Amino acid sequence: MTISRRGFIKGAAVGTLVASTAKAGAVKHFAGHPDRMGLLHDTTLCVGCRSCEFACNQANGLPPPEVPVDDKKIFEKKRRNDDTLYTVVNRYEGGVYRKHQCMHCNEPCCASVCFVKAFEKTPEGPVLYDPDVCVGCRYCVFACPYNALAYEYDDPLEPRVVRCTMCYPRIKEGKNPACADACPTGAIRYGRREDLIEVARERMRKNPGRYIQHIFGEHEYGGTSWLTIAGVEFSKLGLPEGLSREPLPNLTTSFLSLAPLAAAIFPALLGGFYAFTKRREERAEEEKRAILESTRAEAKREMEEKVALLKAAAKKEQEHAVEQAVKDALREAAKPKPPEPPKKDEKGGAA
Amino acid sequence: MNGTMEKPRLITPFNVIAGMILLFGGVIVVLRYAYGLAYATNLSNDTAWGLWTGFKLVFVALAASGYALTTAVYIFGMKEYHVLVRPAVLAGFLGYTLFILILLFDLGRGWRIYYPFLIQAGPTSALFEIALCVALYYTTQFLELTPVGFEWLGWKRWRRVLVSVVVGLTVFGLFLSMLHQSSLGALFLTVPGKLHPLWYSKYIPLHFFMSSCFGGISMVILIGLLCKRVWSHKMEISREKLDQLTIGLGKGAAIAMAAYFAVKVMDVALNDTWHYIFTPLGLWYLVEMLGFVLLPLFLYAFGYRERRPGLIRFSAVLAVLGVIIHRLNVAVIAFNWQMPLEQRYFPHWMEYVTVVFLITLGLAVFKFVSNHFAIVHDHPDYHAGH
Amino acid sequence: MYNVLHDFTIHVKTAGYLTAAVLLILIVPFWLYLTGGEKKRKK
Repeated sequence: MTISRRGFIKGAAVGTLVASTAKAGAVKHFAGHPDRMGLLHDTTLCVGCRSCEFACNQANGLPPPEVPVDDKKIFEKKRRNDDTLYTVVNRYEGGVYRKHQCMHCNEPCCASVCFVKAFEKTPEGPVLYDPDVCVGCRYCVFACPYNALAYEYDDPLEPRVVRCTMCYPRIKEGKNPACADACPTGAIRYGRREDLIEVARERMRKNPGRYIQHIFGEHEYGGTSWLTIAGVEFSKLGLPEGLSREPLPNLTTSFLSLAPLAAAIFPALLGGFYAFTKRREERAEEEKRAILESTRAEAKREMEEKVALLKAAAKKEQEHAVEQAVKDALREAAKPKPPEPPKKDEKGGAA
Repeated sequence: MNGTMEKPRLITPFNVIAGMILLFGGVIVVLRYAYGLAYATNLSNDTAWGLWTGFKLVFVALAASGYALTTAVYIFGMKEYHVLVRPAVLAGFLGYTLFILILLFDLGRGWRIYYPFLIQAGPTSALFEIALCVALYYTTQFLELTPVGFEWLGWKRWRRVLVSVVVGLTVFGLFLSMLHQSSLGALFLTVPGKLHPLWYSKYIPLHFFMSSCFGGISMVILIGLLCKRVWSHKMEISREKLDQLTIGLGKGAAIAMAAYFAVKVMDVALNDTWHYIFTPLGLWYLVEMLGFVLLPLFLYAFGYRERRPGLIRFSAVLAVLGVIIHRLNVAVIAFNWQMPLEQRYFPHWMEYVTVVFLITLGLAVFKFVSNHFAIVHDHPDYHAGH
Repeated sequence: MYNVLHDFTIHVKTAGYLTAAVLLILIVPFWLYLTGGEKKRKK
């Protein structure tokens, strides 16, 4: 697997480009849809009548809450919204009541973590959920910083995520959300988000001792559609304090944007590493082969030399032997012949 | 030379016990689908992800045996480990299979699992990237295992084709593994308020990837031990040779764990979370980091230096437990740490049974495949080319 | 507590660099210990 230098540079360039455009979002400011709507919850006005709970259930086709409004014992334990109750009112320290529900964040965490894009931030403000694509992974329920989502765990076939919808069908018709209409004290007010922020500031200006000088939801995690003002610290009302202004989705996006970069760099890097290792192995092989060759040649040469020497030695020996034999023969021939013994008659002596 | 594959016995202690677990677990699984999540789990609106999510993370982290060994053999050229490649890749493939199964149990509408690819994609989600990478990686691992099937079928040409692309598959697999191992950590980036500061960090993806490295290496050590114990007559390497390999793996694990420990220490410094250590959960953090990371790290180093394979194997057990503890801490134990105890999540007994069922299933399939295919030994018709 | 991000960043970056320095130094004895038993490769 070979990666050409050009291919590597091209790949790295593309990856960096893609990654940098993805990160461009981090330095731009996204102001949100203009004229988006919101709700202002003034907890100093809330008396815990829970009319909003009943109105909400009715508007969403749910059975009314089990406990009637005059049963104040219900406030002894904190409740949360679930699949039968999209909003709850709880009583907190000092007899302060607060209504809790989906905050319809400006940069919703649920929408960013959904891997089938089941959530949508509408121009009107509400964050909507589409059960027709939901796979039921519950990452949204897991991630919501306000624990505002609930799941139908009891349903084996068609479980859905359930939450406040800001009465989207109603506001499309120009009506108010059901809870805002039902609230008898004006603790819930519906309107343009910008206007509501002004309203809240005005109230704080007019009655500084009554309120903590902070609108919860104005900037928290990028801001929410539900704005809360109170006379006590928000941490006493079950709301997290000290939240960053940075939208939660940014935390994930900053990591995920590394993926195209990795896609560009790592195959080239790994391929290069593999090529380097392979080259080193091949060189080692070549060296080995070369050494083997030269050793073999060396050995062959030595062998041949030896053979030649042996041959020469053998030849010499042969010559020497021949010489010796000739010498011996000559010596023999040079010796005086001894007298020949008398020839014996063939026929025997005494006749 | 062992050319014959003898027929394994059907009635063995493992088979009987595994069979009972699988039967009982299978019933629980059916009940989960018949009656829904509320019946089989203690999941709630406050705690939407529980034990099953924790084990999703565990299975993927330990299935890293696949990429760890193929990278060592085919990219770093450490050919002496070749004999462990097939068991490691098979274990990895089964690990991801268990991941997919437990995901299907956990999803509210698991039959819609293909939706992000074919119906509507949510590309902003870390879960989307995980789904994509795991799907591709599962395919890659499957392709890496097809030569085993081709050997069994006798399809020589197909086998040759697949073997020739093994380096490409390994590179692709390593790249995908780096992405999805870290993305599994990235799942938790979005909940800074809910995950305890000693575990939450913007580097959590790095923690997940690095722990998968030594998790994978440690699993290879244990897989080698297991294979030698169960199939000692079939495995073609000697006990001594396996000990050599184990010692070598110990060195790799020591380095991987040292790097991970350093990163975690840096993490505490960069996030300024020192003071959390002196709390109950901080004590548990120390147990995880000192008892199940630092200790096995030293045991690996000592075991490598003194050439003690037994010690390295013991350290591997600690390291694997450390990975399991880390994942469960992030997903369950250190999650929602500020919630009052009455609201906290404790798994339903059926959730435990499901996990045991899946692990048993993985072991049983591993045993079956290794008994009938050329996993722990070479196929008699082929000499696995080095 | 830190009122300004800058002060917080100074604090953690200082701690970070110091910790990194310590860890880098510790690499040396760790590596020596790990590879101390390996025989020199015959050449």
